[in-house]
Amino acid sequence: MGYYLIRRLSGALITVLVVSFLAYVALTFAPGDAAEALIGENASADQIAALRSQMRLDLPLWQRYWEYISSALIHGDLGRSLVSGRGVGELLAERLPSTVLLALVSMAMATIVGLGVGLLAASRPGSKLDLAATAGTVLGLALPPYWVAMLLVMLFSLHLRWLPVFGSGTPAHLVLPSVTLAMPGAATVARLIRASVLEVKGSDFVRTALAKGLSPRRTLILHVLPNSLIPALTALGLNLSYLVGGAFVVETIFAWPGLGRLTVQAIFDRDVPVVMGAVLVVVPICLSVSLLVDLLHAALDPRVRHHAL
Amino acid sequence: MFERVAALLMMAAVVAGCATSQPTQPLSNTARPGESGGTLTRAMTAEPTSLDPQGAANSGLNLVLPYLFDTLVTRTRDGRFVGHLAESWQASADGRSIDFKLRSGVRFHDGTPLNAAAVAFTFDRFKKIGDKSPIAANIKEISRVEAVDDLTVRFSFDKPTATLWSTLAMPYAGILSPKAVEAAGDGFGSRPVGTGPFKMGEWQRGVGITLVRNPDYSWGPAEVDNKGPVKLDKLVFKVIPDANTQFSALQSGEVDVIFITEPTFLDRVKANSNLRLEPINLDSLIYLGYNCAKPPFDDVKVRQGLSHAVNKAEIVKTALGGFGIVAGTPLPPSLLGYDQSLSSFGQSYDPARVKALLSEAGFTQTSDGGWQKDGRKLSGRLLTSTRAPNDAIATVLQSQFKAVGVPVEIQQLDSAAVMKATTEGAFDLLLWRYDWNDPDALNIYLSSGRIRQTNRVFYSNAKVDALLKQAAEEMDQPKRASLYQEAQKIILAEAPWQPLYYPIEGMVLSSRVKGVKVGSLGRMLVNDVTVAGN
Repeated sequence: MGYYLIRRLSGALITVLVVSFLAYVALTFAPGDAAEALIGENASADQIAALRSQMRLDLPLWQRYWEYISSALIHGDLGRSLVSGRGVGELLAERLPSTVLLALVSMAMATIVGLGVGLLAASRPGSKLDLAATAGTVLGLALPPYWVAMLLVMLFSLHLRWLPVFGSGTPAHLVLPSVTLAMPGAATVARLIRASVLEVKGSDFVRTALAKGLSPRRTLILHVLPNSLIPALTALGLNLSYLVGGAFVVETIFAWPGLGRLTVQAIFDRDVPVVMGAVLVVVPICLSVSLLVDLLHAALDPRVRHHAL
Repeated sequence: MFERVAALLMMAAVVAGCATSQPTQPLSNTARPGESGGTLTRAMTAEPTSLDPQGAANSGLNLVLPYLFDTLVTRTRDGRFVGHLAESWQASADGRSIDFKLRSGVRFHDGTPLNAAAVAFTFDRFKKIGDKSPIAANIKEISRVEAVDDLTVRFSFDKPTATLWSTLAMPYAGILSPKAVEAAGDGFGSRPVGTGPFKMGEWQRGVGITLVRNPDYSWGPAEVDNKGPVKLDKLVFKVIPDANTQFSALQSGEVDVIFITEPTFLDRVKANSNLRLEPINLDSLIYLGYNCAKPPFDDVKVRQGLSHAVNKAEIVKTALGGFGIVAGTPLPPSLLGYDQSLSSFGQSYDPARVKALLSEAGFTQTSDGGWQKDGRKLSGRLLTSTRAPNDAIATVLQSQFKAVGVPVEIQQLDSAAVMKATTEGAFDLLLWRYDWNDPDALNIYLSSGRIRQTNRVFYSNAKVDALLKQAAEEMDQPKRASLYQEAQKIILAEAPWQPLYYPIEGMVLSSRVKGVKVGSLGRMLVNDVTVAGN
């Protein structure tokens, strides 16, 4: 177990280094730099050159990356935004709570709705209910979030006037963004749960349990569910990475003050420290979730425990 | 059995959903009886990174500044400059210095008085830290700012500077409280203190900025009726990046004002009796530029020929839904030196002239309708940014060029990348715009001294350079106007740009809002505004 953790954590450190370096290189090779983006239309070449050297953009790539990553990882200093001059740590701290809140609520919705729909569909395979559930999950996966969000706003905000169109701050503001964000995850979970419940229900140990006289309900809770959860758990773990890192579209539509919007604006501004700061926050979160999922997986499934740990 | 567990889980989800889905709180507008005019909420697409007027002009900074800071002079919508914090001014005989007499009794939000020392402090600071400002080059032309007495401040120049008034009227040239600047240090951009009709309230990053009424205000600008404190309690700017969301928020009453640039919203505004559209003409031009340093576009006949292929009326109609005015000259109507009749020096839509001019340039038409010279086909790459409605305009231009046998490929990049490509000359045709409040725009964007900087089309003409330089130093307005007219004649004939249209922006207001006036640069003046309660 200890050896396994050390192996995973050192792998994670290497992943962080590789991803951050790739992000750094990609930003460097994107046309234009922060000096040009910042100073705008009417600058002279001298003005840009002066600003560029002030921002240390004239140093070679390796040297800049090394200066950056060493001070970030060793001293925890994420630097300052090239655009606003504010500390990157401060900027990320303003946005991270909103992102995490939205991600957790969406995650909870995806789990609960996904489990419910999946079990319902698996309860009577081939029935009209199952058909409806399956169609629903296909739609949930196929409809683009942008479009879903517009429909939700039209119905709940403009027609029924139950919910605000945009913004944050109250639980009501959370509903539409988290529903939009939860839809693909819920659909994935529902499909996986349906498939694995049907598979597990047909297996020998379930039949044995039922034959021994265990009530159908206890069989479901004690034997079928734990075994069916494993694939769904993996999917949810991957989904959380998407919720933290990929919520940009939903954040933009609902004007949600999250990390995604901050990062995308920073990319347009070629604001390297802010983008890198976001990478250094999001990548470890995703890696920790993936580690956590694997550990939970092992806890749920003794076979995995014996093989991997 | 399975059903029951499943149903239970579904119910849990529904209950959880209901717990959070309470109806929306009554939104911002709770007008109290009496004098108070409630809260006006405006959507903004991008959030400023700082509210320091002397910083870089990214992301909507100039939307918020005019409410926090006042300038020495303001520009009226018809292009005149009138005093604001300055009551009057007197130029010296040689035009090398101007004395501004300040209005007395003006106080900053922190209670300190506005005086000549504060004005001198403001411009000294600008020269030290203002390198990133769009008006940095203009501020550098002021050689010295000094206090003559408590309420008289003298601006000195090495040479006459006709652009001074438009520079001073820019929101970036707002006067700052020296005491607050010294107290805030680097934090002034988060805690700005000026003399404007509103004081800084709360700034919730990523969400919005709230300004609160300045009760001591009594120096409203010339264009408003109410010179005293504003009637509104609060002016709120909400960050809403998506244009569709802005429109929905306006429909639901969560915001009171939005600005639209895309024609797709026009019909929806007209269909809604609770909304009012106010078209705003900007001091801007959208143009088609040619890379004058790159063959074959270095040949004036090729540029003229291609310009004759452009049907501007069709662009305004199909790509903009009528949301623009066909442009005939490089200067828009609101700027000094505009003369509609000059458009006859340019190239109107005339496919027959395209053939004549390309033939004169040595091109021959092939059997498939294309053009070639010395075995090379006439074609080009049209560069533009991803900003709407550029894609629609580029597509119309592409089809218009195709109709005369010139294939054009469209390249859309983000703004930073377009600017990089143009300073390197890596393009053939450019769809771009400028927004400037002074005819010196021609000098900034077309004089040869600015090549590889703001002169993105590599245009160079010594006569034009001389005229623009002379105009920038000409203090007599009619004379200055005629110099710009002369320059425009040459520019139109040589066609580094084909002016396409002057853009219109749509201010869309909720019918609850009364009394909005529009100032120069499309600025929304709210001094007379009241918002009815809902």
